[in-house]
Amino acid sequence: MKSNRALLALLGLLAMTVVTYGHHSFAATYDEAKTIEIKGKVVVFSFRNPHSLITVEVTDAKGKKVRWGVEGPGSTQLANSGVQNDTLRYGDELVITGNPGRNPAEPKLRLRTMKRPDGFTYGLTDEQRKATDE
Amino acid sequence: MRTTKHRFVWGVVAIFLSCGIAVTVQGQRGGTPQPPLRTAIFDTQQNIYYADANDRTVRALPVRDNIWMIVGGGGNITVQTGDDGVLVVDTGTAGASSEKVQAILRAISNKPIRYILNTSFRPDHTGGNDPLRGAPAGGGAAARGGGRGTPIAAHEYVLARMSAPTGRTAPTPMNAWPSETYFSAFHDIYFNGEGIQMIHISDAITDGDSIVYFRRSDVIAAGDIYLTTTYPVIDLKTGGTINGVIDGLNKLLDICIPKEKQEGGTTVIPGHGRISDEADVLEYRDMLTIIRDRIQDAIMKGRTLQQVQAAGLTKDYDGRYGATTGPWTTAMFIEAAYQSLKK
Repeated sequence: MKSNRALLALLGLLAMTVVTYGHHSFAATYDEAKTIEIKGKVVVFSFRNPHSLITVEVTDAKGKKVRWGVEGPGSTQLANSGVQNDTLRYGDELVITGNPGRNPAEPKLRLRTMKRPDGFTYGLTDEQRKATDE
Repeated sequence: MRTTKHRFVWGVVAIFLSCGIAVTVQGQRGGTPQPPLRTAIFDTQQNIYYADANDRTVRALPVRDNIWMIVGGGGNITVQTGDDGVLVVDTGTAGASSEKVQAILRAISNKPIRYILNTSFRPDHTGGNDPLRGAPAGGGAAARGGGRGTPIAAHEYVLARMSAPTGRTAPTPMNAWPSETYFSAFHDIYFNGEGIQMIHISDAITDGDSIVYFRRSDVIAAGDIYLTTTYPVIDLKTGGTINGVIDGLNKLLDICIPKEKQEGGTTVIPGHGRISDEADVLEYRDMLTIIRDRIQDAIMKGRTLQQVQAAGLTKDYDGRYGATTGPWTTAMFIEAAYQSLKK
């Protein structure tokens, strides 16, 4: 009986390991100590779980268009914050802040905040988060 | 004894709950009276589905065991069926013909539409997106499940043409917009046990055309870059060019493998017209290349558009592809080719 319980506990732990692997850690991919801002046009909005993805076309200082992958919370979490699958449309201008990828060659960001000229905003700035945490 | 009594009581409760749920579901379905669904007919001798016994313009022709081509509802619609459900490439025009297309789809398969792919943004290829997304399945209530969330895959520029940024009016309803876009050279899908590749053909009819390659079935839905009815309908305003169409046809030919003596083998479903093979595509590509070279030569000699249109450079092909009236005349094609070569 005891051995059965131990086996079940082991299987449970293994299952959790698999789930953790599928739902990757942000800290491993993004440098959470840094925050940068990008401004560009939405070209893809994948409203999905476990993480949503916004592809933003940014024109750099040399006039070259670069596509940034912005990874954010899953659709459930976004929906709880009022963001639905039709909130962001192709061509929407966004100003996004977030944590850059650990590999500087990859134009990717972990989403922290975004705002659109029409007044739409999402997320909390570092200052707001600190204030909330306190 | 007590346990048996408890089990009996819980059993009765479970039965009541099940009945309650069933009644609720039935009540929700029966809330709004729905018009009866149209029923397609099947011609067993020709192996063709017709949407209507009296009007045989909208019909489905067999291409492979699980691949059909629906014609008469706007642009050709390629249908792949299987255990996963129904996948359609393009959805034809909106309106009455879309109902007929749905009737045929219900007759071909009792599964719901689970995937829609668009080869172009043009209304004769995407007009049915909205009605087909969430259309009832052939198997009745038991087979429902496609729903309004059915993904629509297309190149990014198809979405750009059909939608508009927040606050602006879009040319098409939001439910018709692609929900799964790609901006690279390929987009891969695995459905009904088959690898399906969407291949971007840039700056051809528009800037966002795709051809769709069913790898196991060896069938290509070519969209409007290949037609058997007219010269290519090059849309200059949305990035179309004659050289892009020729490049696209060459890509098609790279994939096609004929069975014997350039006949049979890979099957090509055109955007409009009849089912084809490599030899047909080859003829079309050659025709277009010859006309392109003639117009290019005239441009290099300083001829104006009016002079080129009057020169009869397409005369040897006009009998097959030309038109003097209708939505796409030979003069319009020459103008589009001329302007795109002048760029």
